[in-house]
Amino acid sequence: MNDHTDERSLDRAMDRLGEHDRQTPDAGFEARVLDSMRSQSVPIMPGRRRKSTAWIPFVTAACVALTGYIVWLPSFNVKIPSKAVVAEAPVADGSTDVLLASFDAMDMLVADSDEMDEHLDWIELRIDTAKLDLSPDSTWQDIGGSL
Amino acid sequence: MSALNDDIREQIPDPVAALVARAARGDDGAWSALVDRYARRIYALAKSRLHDADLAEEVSQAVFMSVFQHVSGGRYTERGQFEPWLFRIAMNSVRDQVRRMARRASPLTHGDAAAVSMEPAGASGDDIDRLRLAVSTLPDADQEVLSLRHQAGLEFKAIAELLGEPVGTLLARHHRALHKLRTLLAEPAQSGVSHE
Repeated sequence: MNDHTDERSLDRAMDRLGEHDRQTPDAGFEARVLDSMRSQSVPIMPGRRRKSTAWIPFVTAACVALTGYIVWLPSFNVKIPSKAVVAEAPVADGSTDVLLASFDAMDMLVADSDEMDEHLDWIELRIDTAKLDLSPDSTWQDIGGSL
Repeated sequence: MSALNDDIREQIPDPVAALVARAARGDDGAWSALVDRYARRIYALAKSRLHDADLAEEVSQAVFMSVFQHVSGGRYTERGQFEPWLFRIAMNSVRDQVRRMARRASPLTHGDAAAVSMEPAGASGDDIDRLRLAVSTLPDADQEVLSLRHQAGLEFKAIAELLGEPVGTLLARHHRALHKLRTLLAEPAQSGVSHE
């Protein structure tokens, strides 16, 4: 009986504590709650999804890559001759006796070789002869034969 | 008899449901009425668990912002369960805050509880301070039931719906929590609180 009475009084004391806590906020409390509620952004409407912007970085990267491909990539394939360029026969079949170490080396070889000079003189002579043989009636076979 | 009561209850329009329906249509008056009806109860619930007036007000505002988003955005379907739904949001917010505070600080000792829960001198009676201190030393589950019942002012049936437990279990838990409280208040030497 005593326990029951104690519990009832404690229950009432807890109710008073709850009531005290509810009265703690000042008079502007409700207004502040309403203000904070109204100040937030417009709620999302049902069935209307916010448009995603996740695609923007991917599309930007793709555009940059495409521009790079169009502008810069062709230049990667151009072989810029330099003094260090090495020329040689693709297959070592004896068809090329001379290993051209570089354009400068080739010039030196041609300049120092009498045999090469003779060959070049002969080729120039044949070209000049072919020029003399040319007439309006000449056919391609004639020109080729003269060479 | 109970079925008859249920029938009668169904025929009486639920004032809260009507308010929520008006609020969903953007009626400012309905929102004011809902805030008047529930904001202080949510504040009291939060303050009893967090022992911090500013944090309790922050939680109250966050709860109503969430409710506003759901109701205005049509994501809340009225089935006469507004109150349990509202206090479930409040309880979850309070639990999140309690966890956050527990991560930030060391566990609350008895002395700390006294420090944070006491009202400024003269703001409230000693009995209230002693009672608040005793409640703060109870296990979380007991504090939760007591705050839902006394600070939030919910009926046991609503608390049972909110916590997903049978009403009988809730009544027993509340009874046990009060019993522990009484024991605490009866042991002034150990708990530092005295029975009124």
